[in-house]
Amino acid sequence: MNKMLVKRGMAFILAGALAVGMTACGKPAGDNTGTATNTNAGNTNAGAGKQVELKFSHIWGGATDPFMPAAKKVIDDYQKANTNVRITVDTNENEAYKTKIKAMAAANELPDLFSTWGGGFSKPFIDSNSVLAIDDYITAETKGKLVNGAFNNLTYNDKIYGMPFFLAAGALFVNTELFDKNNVKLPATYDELLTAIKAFKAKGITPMAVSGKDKWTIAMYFDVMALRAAGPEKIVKTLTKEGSFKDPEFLNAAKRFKELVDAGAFSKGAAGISNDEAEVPFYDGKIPMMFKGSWAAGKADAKDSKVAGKIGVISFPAIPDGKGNAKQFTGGAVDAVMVSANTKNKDEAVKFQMYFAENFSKESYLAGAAMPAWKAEDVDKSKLPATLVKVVDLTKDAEGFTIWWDTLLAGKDTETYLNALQELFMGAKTPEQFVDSLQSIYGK
Amino acid sequence: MDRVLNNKKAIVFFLFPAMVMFIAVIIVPIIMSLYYSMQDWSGFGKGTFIGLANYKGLISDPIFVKAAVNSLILAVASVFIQLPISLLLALVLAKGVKFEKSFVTVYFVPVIISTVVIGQLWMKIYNYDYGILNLLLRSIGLDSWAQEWLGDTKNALGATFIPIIWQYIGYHMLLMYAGIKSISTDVFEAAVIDGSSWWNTSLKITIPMLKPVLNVSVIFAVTGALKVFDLVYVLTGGGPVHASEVIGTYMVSTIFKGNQYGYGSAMAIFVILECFVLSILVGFLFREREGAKR
Repeated sequence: MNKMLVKRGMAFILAGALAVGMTACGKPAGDNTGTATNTNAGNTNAGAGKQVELKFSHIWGGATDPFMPAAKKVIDDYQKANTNVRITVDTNENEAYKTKIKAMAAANELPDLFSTWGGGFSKPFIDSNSVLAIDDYITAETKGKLVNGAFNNLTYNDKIYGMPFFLAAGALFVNTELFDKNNVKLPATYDELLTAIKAFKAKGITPMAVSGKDKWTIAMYFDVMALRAAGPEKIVKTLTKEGSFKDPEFLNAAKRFKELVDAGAFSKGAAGISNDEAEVPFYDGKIPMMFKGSWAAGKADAKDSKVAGKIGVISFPAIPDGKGNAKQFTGGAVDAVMVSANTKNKDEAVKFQMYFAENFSKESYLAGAAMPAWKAEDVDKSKLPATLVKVVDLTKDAEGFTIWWDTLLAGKDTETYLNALQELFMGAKTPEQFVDSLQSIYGK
Repeated sequence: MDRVLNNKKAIVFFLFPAMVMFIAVIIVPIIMSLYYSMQDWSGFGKGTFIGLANYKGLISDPIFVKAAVNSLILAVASVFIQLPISLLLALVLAKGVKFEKSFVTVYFVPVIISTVVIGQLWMKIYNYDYGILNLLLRSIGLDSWAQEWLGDTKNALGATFIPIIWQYIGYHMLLMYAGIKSISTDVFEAAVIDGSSWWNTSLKITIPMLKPVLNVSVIFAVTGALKVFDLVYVLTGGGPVHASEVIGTYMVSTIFKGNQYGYGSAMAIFVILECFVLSILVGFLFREREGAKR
């Protein structure tokens, strides 16, 4: 009898532990980092207004995060200037944050302000009316301060929901020292790129850095190749389900990508390592090429960088039979800060949102950590890190920016794309099967 | 004391708080998951009720079937590889070796180390370029054996399961070790007097008397394997190309990356039922054996 009880109890406990494990993500962890400074109790400034507390979740809290000082400075400055506002900051690691913010939105517990990404990532939040539309707060003057198309990825149903601050552009980062040392020419055409890959490969050097485990890093390469193959209009049209992945342009892109893989462009161990690990040999000066967003410049210019001054930035070359050209870039303004629709202090929250976006944009650029989405002509470029300026110069006369696929596509479709791409990368799918998988986004 | 415990009111009074907690944090979430699992719900706003369509989808989803099979493989491997090792260690240690206590501690260490640390450790071991495994193979001339462990679809599943099995050997060993220690020494003394060898004693006396503990160990191993998530997530994330996908990782990517809360909840319910059924089955098998013996 006793044994029966024990057994039954055991089964219940097991089922229980399971259930707890599955629901534990529901509540936000209280890892508030105390950057909030209490306002001086004796402050009798006129118009200090009522005390307002704003909760702000973002992702720039890591000790080595190049954006951390900029974010902290902007938030501290704002609190100094507006003593009635207390900003409680909650910082998170990037990937974990993506999960957390979704869970918070699902539980209707979004903080007053939160950093997020435009395009498909935030679409569910908009659809569930969790985000405040800010059209009424955006003046023509504000718009004039931003680069053209800055709101492209933050506009849903003709309304603007977020304020952008960074501009990201995909570029091919090359270690010029490695190229020189091995007598390889910097690739200006696709054929030269293939030649360079084979030349490095022959010398036992892995030509390009990628992480097969963090699938988005493969997508960095494929997105730009698809852009070269099909051109920007077709990409956007097809990804928004008004075209077909069965068009020859996409097959061309897939075949070219496979060509790079087969030529040995990526390390044999790439499939098993994370992005952090995959980047190490590039920043150690052991891998000559890496296609990444402009944020990679920050690391190349970092104080302890082993490749400082050796990194060149070039555009991914046009590919044969492609409709696009090398002046079109992947990227755009994606990172944004949004205000929860449930905030109790709408005006204060939006006021801070505007301030944060503009100044975070400027501070991050000054820190050499990101390209700004806000125009920053008055910035002294001579003090800025060399690699970042190279990216800015490269994209100066860009024809346009096409957003990364995994940002534009929503939820399930992103997974379909990234999984299919990983299979193409691993050789588990042929280019033909790959485009068939993409087409399944259309629901067959 | 006995009078108090025989009083029905007292029983209710003392059990009530625990029961409220139990219902609030365990039963209610399960029922909610059950409810969500019958909806087409993105996790935001309102879902639409679709009955059992999610469950039908599970059966025809090749990735889910693969994940379920992988989890079962791990369950089988846990019972037939992990537990025998644990049992052997427990038997040897309980027999009384030098530094018995320190051995127990050493074997238990992996259990208390954070899974992420273990994951990082094994990722370094498996690394293609500088991992100790490949370096070892190359240094003894087995270059062709050195390969991509976590990144190859052929090896990923096995390479992921080895650390999982390794980590909990110490846990089961401790359970069994404690079980053996709690067996009355009279029995062993009698066996020694009768001239029984250690091996014979282990086989005929220790293991049969350890059955209740083994029962618990098997249930823990099986259910633990079915709901495994952490190490797989850290090591491969279920990849590459779903090669090492288990239900836990697939559920998380379905819910949090694919925004399919309803479909993911159906998987959660599937795991709960699977664990429940297998726990009962294991208990039943152990009882059968006992019955047959008598």
